[in-house]
Amino acid sequence: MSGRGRWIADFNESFRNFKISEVEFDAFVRGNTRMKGFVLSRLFSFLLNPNYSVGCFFFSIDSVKSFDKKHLIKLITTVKSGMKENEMKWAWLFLFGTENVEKIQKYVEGVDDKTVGIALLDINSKNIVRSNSYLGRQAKRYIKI
Amino acid sequence: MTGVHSPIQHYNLFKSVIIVFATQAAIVLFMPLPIGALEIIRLPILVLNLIIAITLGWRLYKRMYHMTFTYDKKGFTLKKGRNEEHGYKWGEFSKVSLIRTEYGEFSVRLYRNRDDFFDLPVSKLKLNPFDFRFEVMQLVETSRI
Repeated sequence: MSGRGRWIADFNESFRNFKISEVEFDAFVRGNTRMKGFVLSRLFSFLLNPNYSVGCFFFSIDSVKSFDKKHLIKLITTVKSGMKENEMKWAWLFLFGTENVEKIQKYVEGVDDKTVGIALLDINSKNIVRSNSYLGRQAKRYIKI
Repeated sequence: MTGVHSPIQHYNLFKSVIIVFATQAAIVLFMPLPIGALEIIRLPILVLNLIIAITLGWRLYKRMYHMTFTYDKKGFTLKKGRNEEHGYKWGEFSKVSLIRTEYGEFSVRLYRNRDDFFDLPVSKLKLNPFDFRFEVMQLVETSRI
């Protein structure tokens, strides 16, 4: 991951068309909050950053016909099982699309999960809606469309 | 979708030449020479060192670092230096990811299962990591059908 995502974690592995049970995410990147680097960066990271395994899941809501709350809950459950499988402490779920975005905005805003941050990206209007948690707020800070 | 990739890794070649050159320079440095002799033989020794360093460096590079990657629709082989050749079938793997090392190099990681994987050092093989990842994904998918 390039850009401001680097400030969240050192994402060093990416998957495309990543499948967890029946759900296929468009992309999945994972990494660690403890950054790698040269001596000073390593020391800084070792002293200040937690050693958490983290990941970002990307899902296009346009790939599902009439994406609704039920789909969102299923995605969150899948992300959680993916987190367990990959021993991740935090995860972000980035939903993006052009249709049905307004329909699920309020559901996304209502999610208050401490371990999964959700951000919904409307590609047409470039509007970003995030879940009501620390990770959700963080996700919005670093997203750029 | 077949090919043989065996590019020269300039950094490793340079490293091999430097190793040989530095070893020779150390030998010359600690060689007991009569006073004034070093002044006369400095240039010939330097030229000789360079010739030997390039020749032996090339041999060292070929023995230790040079990679040959061959692949087709069924599988691939990777040989590093004079080490044993690794040969696998695409169908042995289930997941494909792209890894960025802390030195900024890319590898395509092929997973058999969660902890059992094989890394293809695509940056060292001078392949486009982003395009090659999709090519490998396709090869793995086709082989598993």
